[in-house]
Amino acid sequence: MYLAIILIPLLGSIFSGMFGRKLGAQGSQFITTFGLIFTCLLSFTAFYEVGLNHSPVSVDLFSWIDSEYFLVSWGFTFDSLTVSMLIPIVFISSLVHMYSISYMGGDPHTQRFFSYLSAFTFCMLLLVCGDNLLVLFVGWEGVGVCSYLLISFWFTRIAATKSAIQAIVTNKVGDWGMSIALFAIIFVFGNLDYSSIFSLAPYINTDILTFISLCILIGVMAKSAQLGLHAWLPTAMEGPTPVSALIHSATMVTAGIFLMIRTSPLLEYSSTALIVITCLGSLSAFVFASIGLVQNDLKRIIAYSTASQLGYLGAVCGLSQYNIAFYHIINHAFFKALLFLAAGSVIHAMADEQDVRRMGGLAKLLPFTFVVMFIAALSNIAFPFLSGFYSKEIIILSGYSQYSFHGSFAYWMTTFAALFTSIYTTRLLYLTFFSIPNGPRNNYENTHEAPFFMAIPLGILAILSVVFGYLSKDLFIGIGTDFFANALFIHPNHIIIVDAEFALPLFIKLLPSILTICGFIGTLLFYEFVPNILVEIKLSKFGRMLYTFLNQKYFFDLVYSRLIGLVLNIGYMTHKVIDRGTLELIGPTGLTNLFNNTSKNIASLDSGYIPNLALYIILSVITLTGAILYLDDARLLLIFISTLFLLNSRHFTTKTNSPLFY
Amino acid sequence: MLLLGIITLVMTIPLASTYLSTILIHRIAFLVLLFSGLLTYNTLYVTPLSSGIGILGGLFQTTLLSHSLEIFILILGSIILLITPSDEKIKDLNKTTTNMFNYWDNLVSNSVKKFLPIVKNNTQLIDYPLIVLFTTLGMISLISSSDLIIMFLSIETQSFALYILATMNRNSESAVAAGLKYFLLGGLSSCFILLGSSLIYSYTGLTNFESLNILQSVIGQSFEENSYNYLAIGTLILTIGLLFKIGAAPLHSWAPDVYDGVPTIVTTWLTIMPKLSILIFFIMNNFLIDSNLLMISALLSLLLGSITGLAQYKIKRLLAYSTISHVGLILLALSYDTINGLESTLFYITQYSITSLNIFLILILLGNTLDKNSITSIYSPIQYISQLRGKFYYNPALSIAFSLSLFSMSGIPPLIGFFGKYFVINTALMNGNYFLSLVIVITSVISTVYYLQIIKTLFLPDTNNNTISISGSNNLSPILVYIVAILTLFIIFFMIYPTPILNSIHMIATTQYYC
Repeated sequence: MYLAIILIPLLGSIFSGMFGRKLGAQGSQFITTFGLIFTCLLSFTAFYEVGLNHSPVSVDLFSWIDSEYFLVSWGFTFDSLTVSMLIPIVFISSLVHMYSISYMGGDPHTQRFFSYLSAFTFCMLLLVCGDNLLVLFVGWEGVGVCSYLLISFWFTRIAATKSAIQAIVTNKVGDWGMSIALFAIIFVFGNLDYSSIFSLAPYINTDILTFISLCILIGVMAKSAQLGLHAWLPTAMEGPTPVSALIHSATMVTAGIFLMIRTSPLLEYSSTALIVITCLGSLSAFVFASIGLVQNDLKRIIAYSTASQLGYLGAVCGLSQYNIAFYHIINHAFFKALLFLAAGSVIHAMADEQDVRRMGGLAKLLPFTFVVMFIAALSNIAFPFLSGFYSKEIIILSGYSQYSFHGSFAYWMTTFAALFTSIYTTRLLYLTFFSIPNGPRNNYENTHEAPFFMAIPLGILAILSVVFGYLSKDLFIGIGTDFFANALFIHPNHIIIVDAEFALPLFIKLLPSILTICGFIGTLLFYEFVPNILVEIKLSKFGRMLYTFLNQKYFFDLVYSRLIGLVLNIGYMTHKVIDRGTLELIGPTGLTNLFNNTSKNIASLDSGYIPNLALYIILSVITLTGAILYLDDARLLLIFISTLFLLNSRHFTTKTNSPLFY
Repeated sequence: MLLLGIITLVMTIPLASTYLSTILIHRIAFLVLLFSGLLTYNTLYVTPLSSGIGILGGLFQTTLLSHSLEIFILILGSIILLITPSDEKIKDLNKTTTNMFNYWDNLVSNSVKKFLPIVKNNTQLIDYPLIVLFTTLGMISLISSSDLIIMFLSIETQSFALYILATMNRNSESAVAAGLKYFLLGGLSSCFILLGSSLIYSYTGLTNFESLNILQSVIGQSFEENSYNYLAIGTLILTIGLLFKIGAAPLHSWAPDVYDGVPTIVTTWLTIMPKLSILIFFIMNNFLIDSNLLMISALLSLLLGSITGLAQYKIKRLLAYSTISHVGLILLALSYDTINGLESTLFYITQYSITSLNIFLILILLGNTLDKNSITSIYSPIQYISQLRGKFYYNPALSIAFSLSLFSMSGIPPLIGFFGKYFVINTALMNGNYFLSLVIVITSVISTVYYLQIIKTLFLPDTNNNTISISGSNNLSPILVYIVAILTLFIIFFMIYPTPILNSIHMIATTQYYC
């Protein structure tokens, strides 16, 4: 059963990818979707068996690398972390499959799309279930590739291919960090098994652990779009909307966070790395939330929201609260997938219009979509008692309860990020659904509510976005819960959950919620009654500068493109001067020319004129005899041979054109 | 024993040639070779053979080594002999021309006859099998010779037969020139051999190798300086003369000219057989050799063979240079007086002869597919590498076999040539000769360049259509194709079941050293 969870998506992918032509669009839709639903049921069973009944399973398939003391096997382990991670992955994946049946129905490449989706799910499962870092790395690379394929699914659009290339290149930077981390781990621990690494971690030098952790962090930064390597995530929205929902919000981007949770026994022993992670995470949360304030593309706003939420996750991992991070992963997966799917539904209804400024007034036209999107948005801004509230609140509070500089930094950053989140989400809602209609008339005349297959996932996710947080809070982060057992490790010095829940001052504890609600109501009021003030603020000198600054995403892209342009120029120079110039001349070309010339020189000695040949033979006999009998030093012989290369035939060949001897 | 059998059979042929058809003579010669191979095989298991038997009062000395290699030579010879009659047979079937005596003529289609009217009355070409038998006799007696005089006589038997063989095609200017060149320069080298032998004799008064061996081992220990030198000079000059015969490096200059000039069938014979016998003679009497000389010669052969080959545009010249570099490898393996050296030499000789034979057979077969109007010479239709252009599209199987043999020559791993090279390098490394092993590796790379050029040419699309398209490929002689198939499969699949060959070579080498 456990292997079936991993294999069924693969089989579905192979069937619809290889035999899509035979199966037809509907056949491959059916096979992949049904396979995913079945996998989903299996993983619920797995969750029950492993998670709730505390009976971890490990499956060792066969040996992969067997080189002296370095052994890597194809093994999978299913502990409570893995099976809980299966829930969002497989569940959302199956919902997205179902949604795509309708959303991608008219596409001529349906089979390919479903094949990619299932392949992605398979890679993600590989990543989650592996019992050593190499299997994880295979899945890691696999999701990167699938992400590339899915972003550039509409490969005729230049923007899509561009952003796909950006995504894979940025991910390669992360993979570079990851592979260095893997090499370092092999070097230090001699193995890649989780069990060996984690049991040895306490005895390893902290500096080495810090190095490894920072390398892992580079991988995490790329995959989970932390500040610095984030640029690919917003542009990845060029892909189809279900892809954005599945990959770029719910599952793949959490792979990095999952890796941090998985390697918690390593990270915990390196306080430096933890501080770096906290600061980076909270900064990302703040920066992306502020960028989200001024974006105009519907999906891009949600993308920045995702990036900001990932910042939260990073921050809380840095604060050692891995169970909270994990809890937020699941909640976030539900409401963010819902947000994307609902946004997809809106875009679908509005004839693929994505700019929020050209929407408005859709609440009456799309009531169902409006309701689910409203729920998702409220959950996203952590409106009290919705899913997002439970996890996000505790993340922000755990920052303060660390009682350290970086803890407070994280607290304030995330608090303001929460305010921004509430503002941009409300702005999104308002512009899309409440404001006066701004779009072309045609779009409004053709609006239609989501069809059946699109509505089911929306409904299910909406319910989960409301209740899941409340239902599972005690399971995942309740005080004293033993749900995760040994699956993750929190150093006893870092346990702060009690402080976060009970020991904070009332003001601090309530501030995020108050700011969130203020932001929500304030934005609504501003947009409804005094929108001119916003325009004036924007048009003032300072406002214009700020707007440009935020709208241009802190000029990250500009800096990167300058920097990369510089590097590429240097590369071109070295290529031109060193590679194709000096090395080429000394290396391949030079050698080829040398040998060819020598060959021609020697060949021109073969005049075919018999007296010449005879003379030559007698000379060589004399040389050989002399060399053997009277030449003691072999080096002289080398000199003799090297003259062969230097000798220029022009000086002593006689051209004989005798008709008899040619 | 078998030598007598060969001689009598050889004698019958000139008597009978007037009323026997050429094809019959070829068949008889083929059977003679095969039968003498069988005879040799029969006596292979005679018990005292392992320690060596002296025949004819110690003039000949046969051991297990010489015997098994005789079998090898005889079989190879018979295969090469198969080429011509079967060709003729095909032509007979196709045309039913009646002029049976003039079988060279039958090779030629009517269109070419117009250009070469003198080809007729060329009856002396009928002696081809006879001459081949003579050189085989020379080779076999050389292998088991155990006396300076016998050695010289058998070398001359072999060489004179080869000179005649080279000039076999009297009407070709290039063949005659090549034969003459071969004859004159070969005479020069025979002088050296004779000079060496007489120096040895004048100093020691001995002609028997066994006595020489004993003497050398005695004086080698006691007198270091003055007395040893004459014997050393003698053997040195003798060896140089022999090196000329196998076309090793500084004395190689005749080889490309001669190989290029003579008909392809004769080239096949020339590149493989005489080398084989002399190399085996070296193995049998390795006390004669100065290993320094062999190493220098090997080094030069490797360098010259691989580098000079780059500039060649005629295929047989190129193959001649490739032969030179392979001879270098064999000499290198030979220069180590250890059991490993012997084993790698034997293995290299075996695999090289087989691969080389395969290449020439394919070359002849490919030559048959050429349009008779466009070629310049009928006996060696393929002269330039560029003539091979696009052959892949007309005869894929043959071209693939050709490329595989060339790959094997350059030492690409799963093929047999790789193992040959591997053993040689292994021996060189085991004896601590790092410089030479490096040279082997580098020259292998360089020589791969020209092999790959041939292969590239084979697979390039044909621009000027000078091939008889599909029907030409059906015109191939079935038995030759069969042999090519067997040899190619042997080259490919040696890796899967190498035990019989490696084991027998190991056994032969062991008897040479420990019995």
